[in-house]
Amino acid sequence: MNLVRKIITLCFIFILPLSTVIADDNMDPALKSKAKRAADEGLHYLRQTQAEDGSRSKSVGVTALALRAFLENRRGYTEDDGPFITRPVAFLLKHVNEDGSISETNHNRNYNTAVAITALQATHNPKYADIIQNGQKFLKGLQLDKEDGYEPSHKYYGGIGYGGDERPDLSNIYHALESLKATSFDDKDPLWEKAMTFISRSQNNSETNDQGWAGNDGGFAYMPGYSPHGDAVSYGSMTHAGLLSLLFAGADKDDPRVKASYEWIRNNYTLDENPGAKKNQGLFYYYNAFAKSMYAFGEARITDGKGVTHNWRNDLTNKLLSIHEKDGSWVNSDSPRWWEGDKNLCTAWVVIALNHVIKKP
Amino acid sequence: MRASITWISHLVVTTLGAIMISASVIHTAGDFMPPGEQLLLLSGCSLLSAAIVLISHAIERPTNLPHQLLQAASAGISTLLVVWWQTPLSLSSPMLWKLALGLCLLTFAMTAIAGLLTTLSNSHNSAIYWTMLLLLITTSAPLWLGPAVEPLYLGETIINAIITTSPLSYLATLADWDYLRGEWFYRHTPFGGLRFDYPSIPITSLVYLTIGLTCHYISKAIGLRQTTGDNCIKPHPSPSL
Repeated sequence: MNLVRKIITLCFIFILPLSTVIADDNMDPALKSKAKRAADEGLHYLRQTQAEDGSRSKSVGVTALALRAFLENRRGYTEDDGPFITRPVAFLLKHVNEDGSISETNHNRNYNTAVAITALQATHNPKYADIIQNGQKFLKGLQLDKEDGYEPSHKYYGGIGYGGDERPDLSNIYHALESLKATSFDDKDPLWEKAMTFISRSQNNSETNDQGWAGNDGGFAYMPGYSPHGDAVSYGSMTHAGLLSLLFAGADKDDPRVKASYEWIRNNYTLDENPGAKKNQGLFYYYNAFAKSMYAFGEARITDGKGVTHNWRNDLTNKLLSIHEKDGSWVNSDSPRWWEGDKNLCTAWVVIALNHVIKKP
Repeated sequence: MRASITWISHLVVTTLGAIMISASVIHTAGDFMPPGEQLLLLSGCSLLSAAIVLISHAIERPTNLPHQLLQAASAGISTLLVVWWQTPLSLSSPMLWKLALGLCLLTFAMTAIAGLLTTLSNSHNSAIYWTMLLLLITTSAPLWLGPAVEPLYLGETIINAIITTSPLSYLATLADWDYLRGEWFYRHTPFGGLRFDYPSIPITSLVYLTIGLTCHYISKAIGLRQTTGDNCIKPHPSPSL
């Protein structure tokens, strides 16, 4: 009996601290405190810019992202905390449409609905279950397949677009998949497999991409055969979005597509710019997707193409602190493309990124 | 009787013109075309055909409102026929009628502008030239202003104004098609990546109607003043059929 007790004690002495080390993010503690403070300042900025009706930037999408930034923060905000949570929720609910979409406009319905149901899910309020379910159905309906006239051999098969254009892209499908994953959409649904076809066709990886244009660097373009930064070049924001999309759709770390995209990320590791993108377009989208994909990949350190090892949490925090505005916000001063001239959007992107930096692996 | 035959012949020519232009464009596009994109393409081709065929006819009598309205109506009917024939839309589809009415209003504004220019310049050729140029410039504004819009950090209001100015945006809204984020435009102009709103259908329709009526009444007022003097416009001979 004594021996058993000794073994248990030894377990507590040696194994528990070991498990803590394994789970550790290896982040500089002083930097972690700064990251927490920066996230608080970002949230403080977002509280100030909330309109009377709970919206931010008069947009369902921006409002939902800001709401998510609050709800996923380490402080554990809930609807009991006051109007800075309840009013944005009310704003989202006010824009629920009959078709299940949640949007103030007809032409951003995928993005808006995706981020809105993710934010509603983050409230953990069962009252919104039906709205979330209808939102899921709406997103599923946007996926291009045979019913829409797209055969499986078509380059757009399985993709999802803005919701009014029927031209799919990786960014839109990434947001849709993220929200479907966050809201526990049926993982046996054929949507995932169709999505995987589209995601694979957006990657510069000829081993797994059946499109003739595909290169071999492992990164992702905006959509099959096209990148806004020239030809079908791979770039940072889309490669992180692509890696996340692969993981959402069920690929694991041993999947050749995941390996290839991680290889691209290693070889192009930087936080000074959105690598591969023109004029820093989509920089904050990049920071957001970077934090989420690095977190999902589960490695505290990454070794770049030159053999230098980085703690991505430290690097991202340092970068975000260096470009933090005095009023607590962030904004892309190089390019307004993809709404990054909007402080509410960039600040929400960054706080969500910092939430991933701060939270336990 | 002769006027009716002329009108019908213009309607037929406009419709055939739209079919021919759209057939060549669709043939060039080749790949599968989403329904919204097809609707925009067909209505755009109808607008082009109406501009080519109807402007020259409309300016024969620039101060005659029923004459102008008949030209506009033939553009609308032509669109109705072309879209109905080439898409699965049935005649009971509200979108079909919206597109036809939209083309009607656009053509009315266009012919009224051409009429005003005819009255002002006393030249049919220059009126046609300037109207076509105006149509080309406004329609393609989201394309040629694309390279300037991002570096100049133009605000949302200016971006919306540019988009609203283009008749293509009006047609796209009628077709319920987000054309700036459609494949071709997304590749060729940065507008799709910026924040914007498409114009409201009722407001834009009212604007085109107002433009048409204003231009018509101005040319009528000028015409009246000219007919009281010696500087009256010589009637343009009707094309023989």
